[in-house]
Amino acid sequence: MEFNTFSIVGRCERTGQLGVAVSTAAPAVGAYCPFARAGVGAVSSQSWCNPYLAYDGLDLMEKGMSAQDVCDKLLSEDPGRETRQIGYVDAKGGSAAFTGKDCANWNGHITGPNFATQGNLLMGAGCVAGMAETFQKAETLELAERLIAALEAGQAAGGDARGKQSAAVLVVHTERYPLIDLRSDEHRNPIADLRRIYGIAKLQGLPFIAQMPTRDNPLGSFGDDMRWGLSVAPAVRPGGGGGKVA
Amino acid sequence: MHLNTFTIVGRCERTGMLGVAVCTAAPGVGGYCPFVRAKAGAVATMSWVNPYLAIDGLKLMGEGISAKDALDKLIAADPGRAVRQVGMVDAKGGSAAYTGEGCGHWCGHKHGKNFSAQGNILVGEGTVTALADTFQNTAALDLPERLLLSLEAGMARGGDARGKQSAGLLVHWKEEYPYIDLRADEHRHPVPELRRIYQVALHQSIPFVAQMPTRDNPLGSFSAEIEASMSVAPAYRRGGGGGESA
Repeated sequence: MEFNTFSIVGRCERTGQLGVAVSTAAPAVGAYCPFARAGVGAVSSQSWCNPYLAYDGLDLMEKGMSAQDVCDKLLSEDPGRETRQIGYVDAKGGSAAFTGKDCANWNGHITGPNFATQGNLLMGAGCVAGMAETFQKAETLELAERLIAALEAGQAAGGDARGKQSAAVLVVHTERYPLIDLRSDEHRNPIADLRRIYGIAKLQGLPFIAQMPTRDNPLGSFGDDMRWGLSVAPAVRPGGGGGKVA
Repeated sequence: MHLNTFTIVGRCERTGMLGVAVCTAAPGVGGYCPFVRAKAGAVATMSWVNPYLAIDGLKLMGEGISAKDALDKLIAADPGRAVRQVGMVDAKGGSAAYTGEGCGHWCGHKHGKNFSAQGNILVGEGTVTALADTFQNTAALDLPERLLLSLEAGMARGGDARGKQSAGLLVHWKEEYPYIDLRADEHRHPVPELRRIYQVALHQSIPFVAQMPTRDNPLGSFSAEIEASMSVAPAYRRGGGGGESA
């Protein structure tokens, strides 16, 4: 699948959280492009998408290989490398990106400590530059917020030349399951819809995820306020949303 | 996280595809409840969610342990078992389900060869019966369609007693990445929204996923026809959708 896409892969220096935010003019980009593993790394695989560059990259980073070494190794082995675009960030904040010469114009990437931004078939260079600048300036925010803000800046600079259709944000922290995994899979304004969903999930999802069982605490915790919070219909909770019974 | 949810976990006897369809009155259910691995199994973990029941269940089933043995082992080891609900199907079609005594009413499950249907805080038993009946009566269809039809039948029987907010459809086939992975993360009518997204993805996603690199063919395949079909704005493609550039 060809994801003419713009994405930001990032790490939070304070918390060690790792994540990806991405948008494209194809449906359900969140299913095939962003990958992250707690304490290991985060990857965005795009253009003619090869998900194994992400799976194998995370396995190698888990063994201690740097983002740059992983990127060099896997792309040199991929016979389709000139059609690939990929960004990697490792758990120490090392980053790397690759844009094959057959990716559609405009295409390119910018990397720095704790981030990699990349895109192809874009309106122009401003999209990737806007994501990088926003990510670097927003370090006091929580990582998910920071990634979404960067994505918004990329869209404001033109985004995907064909239009827009889907967006996703994925953040991992300490567990094998995600801290945040939200998607707008088919929408006229997917990044705006993702922002809306994130606003609701902050109130109705994140507090509950924080109570889930962990490897160290297999029981998890149960707060009565939490129990109430989800015992009522979505529309009457903080943040609202949802619909009535069928 | 407390997912008062109804789900169908299923396997296709013809193709070996494994998948889960889910709906609940909480945001982003697709991020925490359905877990699938090709040639290993599929799991839905619900109520007070313990994702490790799914993560560890897939690992066990990948080693050849049956769904029933995996579930028995994991539930016996979980100190929070009274508030968990889980359905599992293994790669041979074996199934198992568990509903803890502390799950909200109505709660229960029904499982058989190649499927497991379960739910809690439902309007009534009819939702789980409809999930199971529909799945069993649609064996000629492809698994994603079959799971989605089952979810629609469950919704039509009342679904979640608190209303509705998100839905997800996840199917794996041969690769580590999904065959189809679609979400409606925050919507008034998440099941019809998931159906709408599915209809777009049938034209704009599935044909492309079929061309992605596989473990056996790391180059993947390229069709000029398919590339051309995705080079235009979403609105001009089969299935339509999407929005304009920023």
